[in-house]
Amino acid sequence: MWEKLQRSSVATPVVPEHVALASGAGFLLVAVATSARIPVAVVGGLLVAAALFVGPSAALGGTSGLVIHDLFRGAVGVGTLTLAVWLCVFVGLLAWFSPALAGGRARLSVRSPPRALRSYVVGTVVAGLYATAASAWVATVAGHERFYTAAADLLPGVLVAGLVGVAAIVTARRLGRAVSVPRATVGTRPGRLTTLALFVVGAAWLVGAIGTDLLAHDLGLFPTDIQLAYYVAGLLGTGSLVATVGSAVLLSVYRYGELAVVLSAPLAGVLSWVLVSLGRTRVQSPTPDIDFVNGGTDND
Amino acid sequence: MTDSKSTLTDTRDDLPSLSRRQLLAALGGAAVAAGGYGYGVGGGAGLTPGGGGDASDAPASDAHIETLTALAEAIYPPSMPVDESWIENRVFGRVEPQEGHFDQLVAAVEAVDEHARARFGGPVTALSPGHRRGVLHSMGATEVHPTADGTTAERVRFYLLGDLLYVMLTAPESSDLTGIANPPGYPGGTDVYKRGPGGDGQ
Repeated sequence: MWEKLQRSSVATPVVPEHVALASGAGFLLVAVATSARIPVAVVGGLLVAAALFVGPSAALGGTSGLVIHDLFRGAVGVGTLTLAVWLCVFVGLLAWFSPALAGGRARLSVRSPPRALRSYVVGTVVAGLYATAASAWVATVAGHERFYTAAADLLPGVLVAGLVGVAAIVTARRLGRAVSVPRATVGTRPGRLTTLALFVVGAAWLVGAIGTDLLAHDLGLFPTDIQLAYYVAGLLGTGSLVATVGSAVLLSVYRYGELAVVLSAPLAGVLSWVLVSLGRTRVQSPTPDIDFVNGGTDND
Repeated sequence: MTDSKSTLTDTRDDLPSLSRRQLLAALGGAAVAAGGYGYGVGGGAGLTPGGGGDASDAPASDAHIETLTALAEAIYPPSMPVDESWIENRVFGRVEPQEGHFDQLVAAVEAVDEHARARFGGPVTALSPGHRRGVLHSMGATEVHPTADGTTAERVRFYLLGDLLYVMLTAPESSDLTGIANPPGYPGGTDVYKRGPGGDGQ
């Protein structure tokens, strides 16, 4: 079962030795970072950027290192889970988007570093949106934090992952070393339209859920919906279209805002799955659109 | 395209297979190393109900009161005198606002201490006041409204921060800070009425 899962579904190889090494490195990184009071988002960002060198093993190893650290600190909890989800979703999607992730033993030189750079940046942005939203959603559903505070904690990690990864690629190019990519990713990456659509869905999920949660949180200061309705009527008046729509929206957010945040993840998941399926169908169609394939194959 | 497919197949064939034994050995090795590290730095000794304190029916143990005092020192203005006996008397010595309130307060203290151990490398009492405030901030407790039945961060805001602020504002020791000469329960006695407007004359 394990081998089937490993060989059939992974787009980028996971190397056991790398996972074991990354577990130790991830544990030490988390231990040093916590002792130095470095924000956990920075640690996550560094682990994501480390995937450039050791592939998705960095995320798996970093996650296990994190769990071991928290276990021996007596502090395994929702915080551990949310960071683990952030890491795994981030690197999993990044490995899918970006050919600039090294795949352990299966390596192939990139002849176009700018393309590796571009795909890494695009992958970081889209994967970061999804990872942050998914992690914040887990924190919300588990009753640990509000969606917007959890997202605000982890968003700097996306920036760290992007900056460190870009710096690593640029440095590697200047040193004359080719950035390595996994050959196993050939033909598995999403096309441009799919990437754009996923970006829109991810951004809408993250920004929409943050806005809804923030508004629901602030409107929660009103003890009852009737008091909120009186306040809105005093603010917007009555009878006009703006007043009617505004009142309806605010009352809906007041009543169902938190439920909408909880339901946002399944909705975004289904939408993303449909988009990816449509993208695959289009790629496999008898009249393929050349521009649709993102950058062509890796070994051109 | 054909080359790509063959390359893909070759690559997968070259991949080492990760057996369960290898996986367990890797995780076990890391766990043993982590165990040595964890015990070496004294981690893992979290707050437990009654831990480090007496076995009485007190709502909080000495460890809880110590942690709460450390948080109060980080939150209160420097001119506000605070020590463990003051926290114990003012916070846990009052009439319980609602049934189960102290239990929720203790749970909030434990949540903060657990977060400090996980992400700040040690218990709250081992951190500087600035880092104690950082713990509350990174939990999200400073950015939410106090809600008794909300998320962990909202409950920390409601029970822990709310109670600490309440006891400070209602204590006579904070009169100089708040300008409230006679907080509830402290009418001040007859000598108050003998003072002049500046508080120093008769």
